[in-house]
Amino acid sequence: MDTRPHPAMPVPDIETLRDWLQSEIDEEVVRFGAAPKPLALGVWYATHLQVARIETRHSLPLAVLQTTFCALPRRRRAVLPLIAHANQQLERGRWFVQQEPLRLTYAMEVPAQRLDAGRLGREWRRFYNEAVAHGIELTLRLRAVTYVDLLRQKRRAREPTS
Amino acid sequence: MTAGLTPEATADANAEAQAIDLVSPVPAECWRALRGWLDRLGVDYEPNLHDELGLTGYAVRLRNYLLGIGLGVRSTGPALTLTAVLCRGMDRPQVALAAVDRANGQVRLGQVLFFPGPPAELSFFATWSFDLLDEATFALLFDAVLAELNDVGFPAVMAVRGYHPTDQAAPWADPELQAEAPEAPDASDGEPPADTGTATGTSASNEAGTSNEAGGSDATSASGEAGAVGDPGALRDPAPRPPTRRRGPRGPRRN
Repeated sequence: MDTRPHPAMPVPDIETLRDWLQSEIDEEVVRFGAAPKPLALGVWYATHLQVARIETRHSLPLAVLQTTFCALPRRRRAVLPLIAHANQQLERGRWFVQQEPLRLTYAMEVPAQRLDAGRLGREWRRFYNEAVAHGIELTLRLRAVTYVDLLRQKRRAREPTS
Repeated sequence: MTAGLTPEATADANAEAQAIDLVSPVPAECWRALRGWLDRLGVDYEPNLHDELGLTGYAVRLRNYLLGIGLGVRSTGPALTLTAVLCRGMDRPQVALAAVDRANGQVRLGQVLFFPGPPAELSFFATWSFDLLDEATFALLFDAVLAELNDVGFPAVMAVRGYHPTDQAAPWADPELQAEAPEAPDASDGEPPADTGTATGTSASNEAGTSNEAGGSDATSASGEAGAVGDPGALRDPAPRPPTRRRGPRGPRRN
């Protein structure tokens, strides 16, 4: 395994990430943000929208993978215990709660300097598996709705009725 | 490599090298690379050599955190794991889940975990595939984790009124010794029996899920060595609160 330093390796931008990811997965990868410099990329799955963006945190360039999986849980008192339990079972990343509306988000960071198409695809699939496995359990046990469904409902409500 | 070392240090180095070559499921070159990174980073570390598991990682004793650095085999291959015990024991475990969730919403690397114990613990856990790292990235990651511990871990510990991780390390680290140890001389003076009844539980980090188990044990074993042995003040319960008086209703009394 090559563990030598690569000081001159450039940090990939969103377009590069998109090309790498598109070569690794079958689903269509979409950009978010304006065309010359998009902010993030994402893939719409049946269960969730999985996005990735590049951020620099503590001088360290990271590819941040994130998805908001479900929202509006009816069993609100069970949210924190179930999230704590899920976090203990995770191989990497973390689940946490965001407010207004109450929704459950899963996020993970990957060092970006040594990424390539294969590694990005591998981490993307790893993230997908973790998000789906724990997200479905959390959604069902919390009596929540998937965030994709919620977005769909909001969109329907905004559309003018004929 | 062992030139200029004392015989004891040479023996330790040989034992560690043997452990690297024989026992660990992670390739030895990964361990050597990690050790070289730590050396060149100037980190003062100690190897955790388990009798059966071999080399389980390196322990770095910071002033306020017990940091474990280890390598394990994940689904994507060898992975670097950084763990830290943020606090061991707390006054407000009832708000721990909320504090941990808030910390996980703010943390920008890894995750914060709560183990109910006893003793209740807050800990930090982060892991990355080893092939995504090099020396420069590891140095940045190490600094980033330390910054996250201060930025996010400390407020979480304050929210739960946690205790310093080395305060209660020794009594919990070896419950069998606790059970066999003679009673403290002041135990008959009306003082509570120093929580020894709850000391039968294993360390919470070792009870973590399958994924987080290896990293947690690194820091825990480090803390077991680093604790203040026999410190009676560490086990003493906080003074009970005086009973609060209820105020009567304001305004004129009704008949």
